[in-house]
Amino acid sequence: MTEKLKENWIRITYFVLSILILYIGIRYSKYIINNDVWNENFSYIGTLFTIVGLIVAIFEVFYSVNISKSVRDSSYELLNRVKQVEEASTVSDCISFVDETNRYVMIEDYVTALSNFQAFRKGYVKLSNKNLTNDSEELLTGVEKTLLKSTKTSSEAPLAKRQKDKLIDDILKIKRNLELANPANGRSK
Amino acid sequence: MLPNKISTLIQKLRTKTESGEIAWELDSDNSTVSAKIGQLNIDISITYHFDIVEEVGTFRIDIFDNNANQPLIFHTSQLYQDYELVRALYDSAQASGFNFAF
Repeated sequence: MTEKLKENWIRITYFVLSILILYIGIRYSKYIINNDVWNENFSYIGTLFTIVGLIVAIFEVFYSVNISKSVRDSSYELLNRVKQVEEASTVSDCISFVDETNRYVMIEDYVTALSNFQAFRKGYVKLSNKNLTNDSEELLTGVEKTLLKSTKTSSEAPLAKRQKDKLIDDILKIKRNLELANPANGRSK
Repeated sequence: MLPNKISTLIQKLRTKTESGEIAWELDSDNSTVSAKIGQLNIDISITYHFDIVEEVGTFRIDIFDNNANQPLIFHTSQLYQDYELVRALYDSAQASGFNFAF
């Protein structure tokens, strides 16, 4: 009930105002027009109704402005919610690409690992809350570069164990950052 | 590119390793094999590394000469012929500590 009253406060105001004007106009008509000529009385009442009509018209304009504002607000809210859901799914896509990357690094298939990593980065740019620090930007380029170069390895010249371990460590760090950026954590703006 | 002396040394070391005269220690975390060669009074270690910039495998040979008490460092990569030579020694060295109880 109070909701309805709040929504329609403009209409209620001008309704009350109109009644008041009509009441005052009729109650105190003898101070404004003091004779019994029929057509003058008629034009007096006409004037009263014109004033009421003007008030109604002005307040209706206010009302529609108000309504479109609240429509805009609620559509923004809806849009944000949709964005958040989409973002959550992008994050989970990204995480699975990162997992795949790591899996292929483990079996030394660097070409597939690289394409998975690039697919991850495509999704990553869509995230609005990247939880990004300078550090992680360096991490991203570092990992991609290492993967690119690693495609040139062969069984005669593989990555040394330490290098491979570092690569996997870096990929896991990226994964951790992603998990922190997940909007489902409630850390999004 | 290794100097001639060193490639000869590597070749000899390989023969001795294959015949079981030299036992190597493997440090897999650092991709390093190392051994003490009592006859020559030197310590030698070979470290493998993939050169990210040149995109080739590289071997670094560290020799510590106990007679002169100074370290010598040599380098080779896939760009040179002797890479395969060092790789063969490295592989033999890795296998040297391995006992197949067949």
